[in-house]
Amino acid sequence: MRSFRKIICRIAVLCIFAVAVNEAGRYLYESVENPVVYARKDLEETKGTVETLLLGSSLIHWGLDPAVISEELDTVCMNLGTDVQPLGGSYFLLKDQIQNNPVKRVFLGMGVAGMVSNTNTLTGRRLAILDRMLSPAVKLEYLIQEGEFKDLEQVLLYPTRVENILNFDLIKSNILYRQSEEFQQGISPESARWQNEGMGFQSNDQVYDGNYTTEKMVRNGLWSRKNIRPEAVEYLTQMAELCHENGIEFNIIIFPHSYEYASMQGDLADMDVYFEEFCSNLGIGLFDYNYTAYEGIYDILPTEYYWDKKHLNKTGAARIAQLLCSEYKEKSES
Amino acid sequence: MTVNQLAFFVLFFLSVIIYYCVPRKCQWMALLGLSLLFYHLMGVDNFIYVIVTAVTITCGTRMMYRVDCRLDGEIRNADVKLTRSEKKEKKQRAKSEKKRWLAGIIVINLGILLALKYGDFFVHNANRLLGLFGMDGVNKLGLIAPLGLSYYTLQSIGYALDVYKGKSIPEKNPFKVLLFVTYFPQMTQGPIGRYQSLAPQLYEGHSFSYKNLSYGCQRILWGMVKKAVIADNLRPMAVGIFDKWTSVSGFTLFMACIYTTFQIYADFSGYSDIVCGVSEIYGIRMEENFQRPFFSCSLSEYWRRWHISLSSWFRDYIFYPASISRGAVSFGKLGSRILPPRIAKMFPAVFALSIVWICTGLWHDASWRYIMWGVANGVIIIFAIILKPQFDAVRNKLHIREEVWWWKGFCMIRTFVIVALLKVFPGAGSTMNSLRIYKKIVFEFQPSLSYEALFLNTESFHLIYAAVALVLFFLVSIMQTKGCVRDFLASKPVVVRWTVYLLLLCMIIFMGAFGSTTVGGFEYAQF
Repeated sequence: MRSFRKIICRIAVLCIFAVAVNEAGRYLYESVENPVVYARKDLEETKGTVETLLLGSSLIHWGLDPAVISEELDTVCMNLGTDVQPLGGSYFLLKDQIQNNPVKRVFLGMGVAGMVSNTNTLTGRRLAILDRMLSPAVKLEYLIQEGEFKDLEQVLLYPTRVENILNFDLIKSNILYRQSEEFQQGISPESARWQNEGMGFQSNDQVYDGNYTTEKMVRNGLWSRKNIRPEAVEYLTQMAELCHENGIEFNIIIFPHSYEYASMQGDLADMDVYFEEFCSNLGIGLFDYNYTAYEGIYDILPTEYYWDKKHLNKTGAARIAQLLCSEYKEKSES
Repeated sequence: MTVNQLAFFVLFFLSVIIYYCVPRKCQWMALLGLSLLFYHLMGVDNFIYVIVTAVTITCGTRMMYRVDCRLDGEIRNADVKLTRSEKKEKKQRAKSEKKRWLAGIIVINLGILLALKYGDFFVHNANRLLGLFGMDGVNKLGLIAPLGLSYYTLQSIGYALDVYKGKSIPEKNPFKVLLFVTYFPQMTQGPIGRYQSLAPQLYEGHSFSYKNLSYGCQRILWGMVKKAVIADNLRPMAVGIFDKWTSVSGFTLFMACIYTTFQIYADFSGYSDIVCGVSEIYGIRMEENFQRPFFSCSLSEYWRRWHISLSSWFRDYIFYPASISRGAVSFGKLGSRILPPRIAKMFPAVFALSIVWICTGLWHDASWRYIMWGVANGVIIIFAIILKPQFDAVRNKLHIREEVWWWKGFCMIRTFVIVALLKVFPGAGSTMNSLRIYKKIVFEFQPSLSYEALFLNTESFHLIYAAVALVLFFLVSIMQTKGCVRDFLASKPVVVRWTVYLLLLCMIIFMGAFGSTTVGGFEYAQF
């Protein structure tokens, strides 16, 4: 019994130590230029109120303004897009949000990469998703299913993600900015190449000059039915089922890219047909803004609405959000 | 999952609760179940090979034991007292029968090892030979060796040899033998356990002891410091230099050898510390695998202190039998015909050492560079033995006493440099590259004290972390020569002890390398 008490005391000390180290590590080393710092803050502040979720890769993260959607659809909308978000990650983010918010509708951004390439290989991508989750149980489930336990120390102990603890410039700038009024108001520092717009959304107001697309840049594979990964289909189906069970509307958005980039992604017309069939079979709403499906998309979203070859800029993000909302309303009314 | 991941420790913590909650006589079953679970989580799905090993070892050792019992019975229960020659004949017959069983065990288990680990190496070399005669080669086998195969095969064969020699009574229960083969902390990288010392501990029940838990955790903590802070920070430096060997000087390559030496030691001994700590918490004492090898004054002493379980396995099961074998005797006779008696007397030992070192090289990896590495170790040790009288004479002439501190220091540095230079073989990507690197070290040494020459493009923080941990490591090593560090720590007040633990934990968390693609596994797991 004495040993048992001793062990419990020591475990308690270790837990307190772990929490302290984790918080100190985040405070000192997690860059204020990291979008997840603001996304986490928004998630905590709006817990219990979010009704509309935006999930998907960086196309969604940079390219869909939740403020416009909130206003147009009279809802509370949160953008949970992350860099190359694997579909498994989208599924678990949805599951986590269902446990913490009264979710009514979901918009999942899809593209060629999500269906044909293995996007779940990098720890950093999984961590970006895990950092946006609120329930420890869902985090654990995601780790077991997707992370193969590999990321546990990096999830629980932030300092294990820090490469150089001797980076005193970073520590100084972090401490100074975290204490500033701007940070409290959720304003990102000027040194960041994006602006924090709130509700998980970061925008970029640069304009794409159309000069950076080469075939080498299309790294994520070409669209072809034989390249479709069964896990991707499985997760999409599971998400549809999860939404159905919880009375949530599930919608897929196929995002536009600049023409130079989109034209190198294979037979996109076939992708439109595939998603149309897939969505109608599972009762999923589809909003396809691919140039092969949406005539005149480049008149609505010309090159000036992008900040690089595939991501929409601030104006583009607001423009497509308006387009989505008006089409969504039309569809809902009909 | 590897034993340096947090997930391992979370599962291990749960396993300890399970282990101590089940009745003592069932603890071995819990340990077997956990071992198979961990083996699976470490990435092994195919259990067929360990099962074959456990079954063949159980059956074979039982049959050898039965032969012994039958012989005893025949001698004891004979109606008429047997003559000495009759007894000898019966013993001879029993011995040859046991030999057949032993051969069966060795052929099956060594066969699995040879086929899975060395199959493609042999096919590759055979194809090259056939190519010389203009003949077509055969396809590679493409078999994949399961994790820990080399370790548990040697451990199992060692057990069979002990039973053959009558040193151990074999276990009847094949599941208990399976536990001996698959005991999870040591299965993938050793230490290669001996049946007499390990098996009874695995099979008997243990009561929970707080001291075991505390000491075990300390050992794990220290192992993690070695692995995460020293090995994983030195690895990018060493690998970075060897990867760019064509564009760096011989001096930089020599520095890479030094980093590799520390890195491999920290990696492997860190693993051994974790294994010993984990076992200690279960109440099982593992044999020590390292005894401060960098304090060795000669290469042979180094090998008595480095990977002790492997060196002692080769000593007991290959060196001793080989040195009294017919081959060794013939080799000795050959030596006595052509060489002075003092050297000729060493020939049987030289014969056995040559076999041991070729086997050691081959055990590490199925490649010519590792065979060359083994041969190089063997040649240095053999020459050191043969030339010892000459070295002693020179030392005496210079009036240097062996026990003087500076001579000892010189010998340690000399041994370390030899060991480091031999790390070219594991460091280089191929046999030819290792020879080219040696050429570069000898002919293009170009020493320099610039950062670039010493550390190439390594980030300075990797260097600082590794240096801090290495200083600590040497302080602890020096303390170990004077007594048990854990006992010393235990005698201190709780605040001091916990300050030390938490500082070490901070070192691991802040300075350890996590999540990079180069980290995760252990160097010796590949062997």
